[in-house]
Amino acid sequence: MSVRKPLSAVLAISVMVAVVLLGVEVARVSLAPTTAAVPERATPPSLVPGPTHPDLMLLQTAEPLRSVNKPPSVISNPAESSIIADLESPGRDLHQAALQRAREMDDRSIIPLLRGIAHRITDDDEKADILETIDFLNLPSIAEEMTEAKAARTAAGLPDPPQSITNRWTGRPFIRKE
Amino acid sequence: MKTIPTGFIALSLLLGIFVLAPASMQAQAGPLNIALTVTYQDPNPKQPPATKPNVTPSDTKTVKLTTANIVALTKSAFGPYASGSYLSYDPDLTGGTAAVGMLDSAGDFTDLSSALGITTDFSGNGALTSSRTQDTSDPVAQSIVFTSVWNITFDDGNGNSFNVSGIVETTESLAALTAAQNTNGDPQTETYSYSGTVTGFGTYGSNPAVFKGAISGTGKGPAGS
Repeated sequence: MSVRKPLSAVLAISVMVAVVLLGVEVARVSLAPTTAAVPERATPPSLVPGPTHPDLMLLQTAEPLRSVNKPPSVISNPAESSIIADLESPGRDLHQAALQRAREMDDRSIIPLLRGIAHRITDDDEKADILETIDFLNLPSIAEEMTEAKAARTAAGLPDPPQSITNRWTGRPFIRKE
Repeated sequence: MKTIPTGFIALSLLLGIFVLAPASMQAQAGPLNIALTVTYQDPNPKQPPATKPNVTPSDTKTVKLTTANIVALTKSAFGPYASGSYLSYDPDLTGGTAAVGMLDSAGDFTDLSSALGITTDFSGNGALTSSRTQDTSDPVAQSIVFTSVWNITFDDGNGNSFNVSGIVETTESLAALTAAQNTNGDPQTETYSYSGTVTGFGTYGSNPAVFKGAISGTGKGPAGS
């Protein structure tokens, strides 16, 4: 009896430590994909460098599979669904307005849906409009390029270019917040 | 037993917030959307091909500029902007003061006119109007289409600027005067939408650039405000 008690206590402590360690590992695994997958909205998911941990790979492959299985008519973003609905309705003006909204929304997640419609339609002009919109969405944005340029300047130890105090078109000074 | 007057404290804090809140602008301005492609001169020097050492290659690059980018470019100098703010513009259809800036959900307005300017003339040279004029003494529902040249200038002070122009079609719809508006002497409700294509020139990162794209927007409010 006196020997079994310490043994069971050691066993219980070992199990508790194992559970805690497992919990830490699960938490680390669950949190990691968030930081790995989000950084650039612009980068297609297939191009995001994937983690090498087998559990992470399982977690990562589960999401795209669900997306693939999702019916194409179910779009979670209401703005996207309105654009697609207009493109699938008759009327060239309606289509052009919808494509303009897609450009203004500037969200690359709509590209596969646009590509699907471009494949289906037979009108060459309309197809060209959609492909032009896809090309626009795929362009790097000024914000992305400027972030890269700033990082390059910082890395090279170069200062930011001096700010102008007047608007080049009006010649009037900028009224900035204090 | 001493009690803490939490209700009184909460009320005081709320009153303080309301008193300190900045003045609101009339909700006439609506969201302004801009989507442009920017083709600029690549500043990075290229090496001549080995076979043609006398050739000096130069190149262009293309990026996009959207409303979100304009907001980002102006944020450091004119911001911070409250969450939910959007770039707004009141096209000044009925003689009010045109305004361009960031409008938040509470109606607070940050003027950006020293960086982003929009000029147009709905009745001057080159401006066309398509409408059926109604007797203003008995305002009824009507719709007016303006076709006019817009000029948009932008300068963020950091080497990014453009000066674009184009023909923009604006549709203004005035709802019939309601009984309540008539009783209170309030104006008709106005809704408007505009869209058009623009082209022009400017700079991107201080490099020469050409700009091409489209603008659009909508808005709603009391006519003439």
